Amino acid sequence: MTDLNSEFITSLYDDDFKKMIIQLLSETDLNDNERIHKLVEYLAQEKVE
Amino acid sequence: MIEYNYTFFRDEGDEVRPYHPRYPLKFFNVADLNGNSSTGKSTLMNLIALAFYGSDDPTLSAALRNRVKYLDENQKVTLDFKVEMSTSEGNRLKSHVVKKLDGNGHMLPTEITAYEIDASGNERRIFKEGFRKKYRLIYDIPDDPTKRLLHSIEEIQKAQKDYTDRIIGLKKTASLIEEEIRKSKDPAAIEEYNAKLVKLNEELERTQNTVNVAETTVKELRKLQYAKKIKTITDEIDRLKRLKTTTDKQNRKINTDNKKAESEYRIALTKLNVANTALFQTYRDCYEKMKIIKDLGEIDPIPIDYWFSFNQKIDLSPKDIPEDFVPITNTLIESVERAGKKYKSDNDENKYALLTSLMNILKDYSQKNESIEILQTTTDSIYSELKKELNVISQKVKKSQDYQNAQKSLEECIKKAMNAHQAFVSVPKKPEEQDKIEPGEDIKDKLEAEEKSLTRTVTESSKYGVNATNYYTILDNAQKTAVLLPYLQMDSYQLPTAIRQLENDIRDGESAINGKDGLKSRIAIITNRLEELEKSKEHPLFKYRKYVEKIIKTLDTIQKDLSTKNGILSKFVNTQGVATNLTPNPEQKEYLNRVWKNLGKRLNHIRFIDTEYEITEVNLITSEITTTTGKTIKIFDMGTGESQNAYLLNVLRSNQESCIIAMFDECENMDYNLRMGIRQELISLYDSGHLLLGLTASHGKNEAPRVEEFHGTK
Repeated sequence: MTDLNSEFITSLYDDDFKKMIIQLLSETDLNDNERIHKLVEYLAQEKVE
Repeated sequence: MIEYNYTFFRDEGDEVRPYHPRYPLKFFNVADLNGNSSTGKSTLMNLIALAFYGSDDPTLSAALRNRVKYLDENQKVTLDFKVEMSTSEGNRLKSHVVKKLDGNGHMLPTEITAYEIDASGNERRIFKEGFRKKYRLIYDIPDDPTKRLLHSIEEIQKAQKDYTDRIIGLKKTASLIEEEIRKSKDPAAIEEYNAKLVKLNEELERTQNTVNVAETTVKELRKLQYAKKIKTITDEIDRLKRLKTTTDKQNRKINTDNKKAESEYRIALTKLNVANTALFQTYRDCYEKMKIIKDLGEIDPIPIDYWFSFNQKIDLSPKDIPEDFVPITNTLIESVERAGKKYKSDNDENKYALLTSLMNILKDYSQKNESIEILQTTTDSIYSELKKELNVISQKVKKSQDYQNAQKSLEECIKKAMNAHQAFVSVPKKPEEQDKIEPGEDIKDKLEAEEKSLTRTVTESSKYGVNATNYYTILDNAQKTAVLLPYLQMDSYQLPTAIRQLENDIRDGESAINGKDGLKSRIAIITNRLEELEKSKEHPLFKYRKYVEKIIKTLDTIQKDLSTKNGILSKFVNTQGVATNLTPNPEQKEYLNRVWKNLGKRLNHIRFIDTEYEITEVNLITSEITTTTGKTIKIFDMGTGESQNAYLLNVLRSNQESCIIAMFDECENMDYNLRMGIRQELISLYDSGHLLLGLTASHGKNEAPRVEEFHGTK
């Protein structure tokens, strides 16, 4: 099931990285530190320059 | 199930009136309270809302929030309310609300104690923030459809603001991590700082050396300068002293010479006077003899007589020739000339010459200004001529013994005259007195000033170890000191300039070393930083620091973007209505289209007339609902029931992650089918474990209070 609010905010962005940020922010069982680590992992995985 | 109970007292002035539940104390999670007014439907809903922190829940409408707040803050209401409810999966939530007076009759703050209990029976207290993260309290009254849709817009705005807040929080965390990374151990930075430190230390050493050399040079140059100064002053003192000595000596000699010359002069003058006296005496004697010659009748007696008379008349002293001597003499000369003419006409030229010579002597004497000098130059020839003439005469008057005697006497006179003449020759000119060279006050003053200057300079120079006895050694040594060689040729103007330049160099160097941003300060900063880096621990995200930067930048972009989007939404749709007169630009239009689509998703389905439609978007500017079948429904064409249905479904579906406590009051305007549609949604949520309570309230028609339960599959 999807949160309509987060879905709406996510829908505002076409950029995957931004979408991921919104998605992580909507996951209430994560804290901000964990979110940052996940974002870093994502960027590392994507080999973003 | 939900179980509850309460005691509720309201101070109504004349009495404290109790209120008790009139509906069953336990019923199924999805239910409808049906009863007349004042049966406690709204009271139960208000108490449930209060028990789960609804008195300041911003998602509730202001009217309902005030109702809950009234219970919370009213000083005339005391209560004790307990409620417990469970999900289909066995998770439970309970709360106990106590509002009471203290011993003095003052109202104490409301105490809310809520707990969540998992399926295994583990109990954990839950506070407001935790509750709102995990649960969602929905308490509403369906009414005007347009207003309700606008509330959905508000919800979108709140969501945007909520995400903006989350973005800000995440950005703050990212910034803290970035700061931690910055302070963490960075081998490359350590290497870089070490290299910088080496360079700075080298520069410090170089600069310090330059300063040291300059300081030494300045010190030596100061010594040199003082030594030179002392030498100059000493030389000047010596010169003045020598000058004074020489002057004194010369003056003594001049004095002696002057005195000697004066003395000699006076002697000479005396001799001259004597000689003159003798000379004039000789003349007088001569004229006596001339008288004898006259008596012999050889010479015209007239001028002789005249001279004789003159000779008797005046005293021919060289010291006091009378002022009328010249006219007298001129008269005599005229007489002699007249007599001479006679001799001349008689061809007695010798006599004429003799008289002429005598007249010339007188004439010379008449020219007092030429004085003795003229006498000196003429006497020789005069006497020579006189002697010659007398010899001639003597030849003519040989026969006369008297004449011979006269001649003899005359010769003696001539001899005396010659002696006198010799005396004239030996008399020096009066010496001109040599000017004395006085030592003069200026030399004394100069000497005194120079000596004072020497004392002062020696005092000043003592700190450089220069004094009046060692300056020569210092000057000698300077010649052997390589660093001083370029300065030795400088004059007294160039050297101070060079010293000032060196002192400037020293100041610049010291500033470069000790200044605010000087080398030492920079070295200290880098050393501290290095120490910090050495002490610091490695950060797990160190090698991903660029990613952290990117995250921060992206979060910043999203934050600004959401803020802009909220601005757009506020511009076109707000609680005052919809700005249908404005035309959005392409960017605004794109965003608003996403909003309309999201509204469609939130509504999902509507029942219009007898048909159920799936919605794709709700455009508030055109006031149109577009369905998946392509049908366009004007919002204002929808009845109240459809609107309520659409709104309530929107509310229930807007956040499907939280566990919901939903209460809808005053649902009597909804028709049966629509109401059942809502209940079906509530049952569906309960079955999926996302609903704790789905309670509706409808105004009954003279019916006793009752609860209608709607069971799902579980």
